[in-house]
Amino acid sequence: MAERNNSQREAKLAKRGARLEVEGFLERCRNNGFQVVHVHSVDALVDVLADWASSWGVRRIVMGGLSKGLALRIRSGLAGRGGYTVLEIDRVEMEIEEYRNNSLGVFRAKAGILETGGVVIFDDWASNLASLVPEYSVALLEESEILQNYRDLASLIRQSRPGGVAIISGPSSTSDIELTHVIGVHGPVGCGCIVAGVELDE
Amino acid sequence: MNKSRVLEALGKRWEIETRWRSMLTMHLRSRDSMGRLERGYLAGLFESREKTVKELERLIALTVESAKKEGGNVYVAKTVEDARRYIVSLAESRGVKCVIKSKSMTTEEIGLNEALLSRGIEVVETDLGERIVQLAGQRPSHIIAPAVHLSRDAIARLVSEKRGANLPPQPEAITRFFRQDLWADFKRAGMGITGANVVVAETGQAVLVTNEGNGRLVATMPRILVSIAGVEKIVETWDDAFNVLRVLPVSAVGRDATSYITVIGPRGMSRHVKVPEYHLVLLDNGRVGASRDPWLKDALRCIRCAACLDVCPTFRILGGHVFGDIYSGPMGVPWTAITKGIKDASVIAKYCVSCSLCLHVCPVQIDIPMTISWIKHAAGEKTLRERILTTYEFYAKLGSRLPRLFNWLQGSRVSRRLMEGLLGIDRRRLMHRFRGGSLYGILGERYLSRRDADIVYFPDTYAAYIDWGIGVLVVRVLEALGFTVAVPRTYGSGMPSIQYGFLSKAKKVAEKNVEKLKSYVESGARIVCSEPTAAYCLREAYPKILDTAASQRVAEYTWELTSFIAAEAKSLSPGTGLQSNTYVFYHHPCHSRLLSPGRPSEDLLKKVGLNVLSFDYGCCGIAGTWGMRRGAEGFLISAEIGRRVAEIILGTGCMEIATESSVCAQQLRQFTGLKVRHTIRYIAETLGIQHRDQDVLNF
Repeated sequence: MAERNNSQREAKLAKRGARLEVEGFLERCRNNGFQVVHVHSVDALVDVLADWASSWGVRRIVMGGLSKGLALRIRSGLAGRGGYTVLEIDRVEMEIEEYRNNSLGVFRAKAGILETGGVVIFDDWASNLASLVPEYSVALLEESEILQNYRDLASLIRQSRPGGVAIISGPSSTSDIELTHVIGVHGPVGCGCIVAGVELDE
Repeated sequence: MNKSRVLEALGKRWEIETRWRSMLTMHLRSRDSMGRLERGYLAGLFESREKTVKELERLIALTVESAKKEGGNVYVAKTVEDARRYIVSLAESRGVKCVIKSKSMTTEEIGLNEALLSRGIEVVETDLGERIVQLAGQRPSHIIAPAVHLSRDAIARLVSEKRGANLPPQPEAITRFFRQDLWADFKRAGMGITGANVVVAETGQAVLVTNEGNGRLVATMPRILVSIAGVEKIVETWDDAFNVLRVLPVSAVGRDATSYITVIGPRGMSRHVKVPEYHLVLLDNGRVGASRDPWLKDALRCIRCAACLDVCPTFRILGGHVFGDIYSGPMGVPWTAITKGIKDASVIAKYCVSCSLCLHVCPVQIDIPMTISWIKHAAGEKTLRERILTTYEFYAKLGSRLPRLFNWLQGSRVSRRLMEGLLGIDRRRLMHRFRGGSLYGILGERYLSRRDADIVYFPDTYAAYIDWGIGVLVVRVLEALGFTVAVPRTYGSGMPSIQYGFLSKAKKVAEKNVEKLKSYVESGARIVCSEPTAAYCLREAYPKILDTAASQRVAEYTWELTSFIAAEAKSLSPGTGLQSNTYVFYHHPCHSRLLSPGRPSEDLLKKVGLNVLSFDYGCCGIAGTWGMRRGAEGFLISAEIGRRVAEIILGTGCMEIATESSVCAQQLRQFTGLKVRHTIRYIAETLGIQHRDQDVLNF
């Protein structure tokens, strides 16, 4: 009985720790200029995507680096809401101009960094394009993929040996003119991060 | 020093104003964020960079091996010509017509744009600031803010004229225009060229830190990608790399992270995933040699955060087009020495005033001011006036013997004109008055030869010969706090010799002072300096110049006066004489920032009951004898800084200023018109020794 109580308490504490971690991560991402949200189902994720797309005034959603199942669920979810054109970056030859303007890129992040508030892409050219070329971009991430800091990321890189990595910590910006901070230079003008409390790639 | 260029720069009023404001803002952001950074990263960064410097050749070999293993092409260029030739040949052999670039100082170093253009290959810079200066036909004036010298109006006019747009002078509109305008170049370019903030030896990959997204697009869009980096950018492992990547944005712009960190390599995330061609060019150009040079090797630790530029008083006024070569500002001096030689470096070294703030803010602790002193020394070109200024102590001694004559000479218009012509001392500079007599003479044999002291007071030139009143007050305060004080006859600290690069002369002075002080230190006495610059010389400069055990020991036992009192006199409390409604502005001398972590003087002044205000504007702009120098050689630049500092101080509403540096006091008196008092006067008043306004000669 006592053992059971202990393990329940530990599970509770671990849950609380994970929640604090997610909250801390989202807070730092928000400080870096991301729109952030924590969801607990793929349906809720699709709702958020639709809301953000609507608030940014874009109707074209371009997905890169998502698992087939997730891409399908997002596509069908958005189809149910009507009025969205959904593309998938699935081949190298795809005309890049198709998703430069008035588009929202949705990509799957490999990890998040709690310490600095950013998301990471590994070796995924489609996610790279979806996070870089469109006017807006949204990263999808599972709770369990949040790393504490750069030291954890260094370990992950050492294990995975990725050929290319991108760490994204906010929308593209510049302060090159009179130190005035302007958001939206060559990369996305706005960006978001959705942390899911469920598995995304089932 | 190129006087005509200085005068031209001083004429650009808007540029000075915007640069001063921008640099100050960047410095304050960086300072605040660095204060919050986990210390482990700084220690890790230092170790990582030291490893690179010590094992540079091994790490170059490891990088080459790793990159080749990954399928990349690696070229180690010994010279700028080699690097240029490799990249230009590559572009020509692949039939490239247009190259897009992300910001890279290394390509500036090798003159790549000019070389490509001369072969008919178009080059488009894609970093906003770089693109602006490219259109203006200029070079970057700051390594991370290349167009900081240009106003929004000037940029809007320039872009409208060069790119046929009709832009309003609004940063948002200009940025939006470049987003559209450069997109076409990203799509059509046949080759992308990036720099690298870090190269990771264990995997042979280059890492790029950017905000705009141009670096990622350059790495993603063209079929051929070249990354070029100086070999000192190599770190061994990913842990080492993340030490750099964690600290760099914090120190540079006060942010925990830039928008993008991009890892580039032969298996990168190119749009042309099936046919990428990747080349890594590692540039030596003097770096390997510098890693063996005792004075230049530390500069290889530099991570190009530019914190030293933002805090540099002369850089804030003159900018990188005057105080700079390819690499600008304080770090630009050793970097010019490494990449182009001592002679070129000595030209810009003259803009360094040895305030040492660059060392104070450097995240990898490069002693830039001492390295610059050595460069001035090694270049060997000294002006007569610089030689004269190193004999400052001789004139002070003379003044102490003939005070009435010297005070009259300093007040007479005719003699000031003569002094300006002969000695190069600007006639507009407010000079200290001489009290007459020396501290040693006033205190007498008892203090000079005392061997049982637990404190040795090192007065330096001002308190010894110009105004012994301060020196006497220091001794009385220390005695009132229960210490036994000795004041052996010592030489001035020799700072002017260090500042102007007369290191042989500085060495002689340092040897004499260390010889005099070491016996006291051996018997356990501590050395206390009322002049922060003197404490800086004893603690920081002498061990580097002499490199002896004795100088190291003297350094370990040296204290700056107020830090010493703050640490030792814990029972000090508000005295009856001090009014609690008195608001005092505290000016933090540059050398004091370096020596005394925290704010001991401010804390001390608060402890004795004063309301203390302060502001971190950096150097007040006099920098010892430098700000006394005639016109464009010193005074005019010093006055530009002094006026801005005065504006800040007067804005606080304080009616008096406390500080410890005699030359800072000179500058602050001249430009604020307020009374300036040595901090010791407030302590003395608290202890009931003397009212702070009593018997004041200068400060």
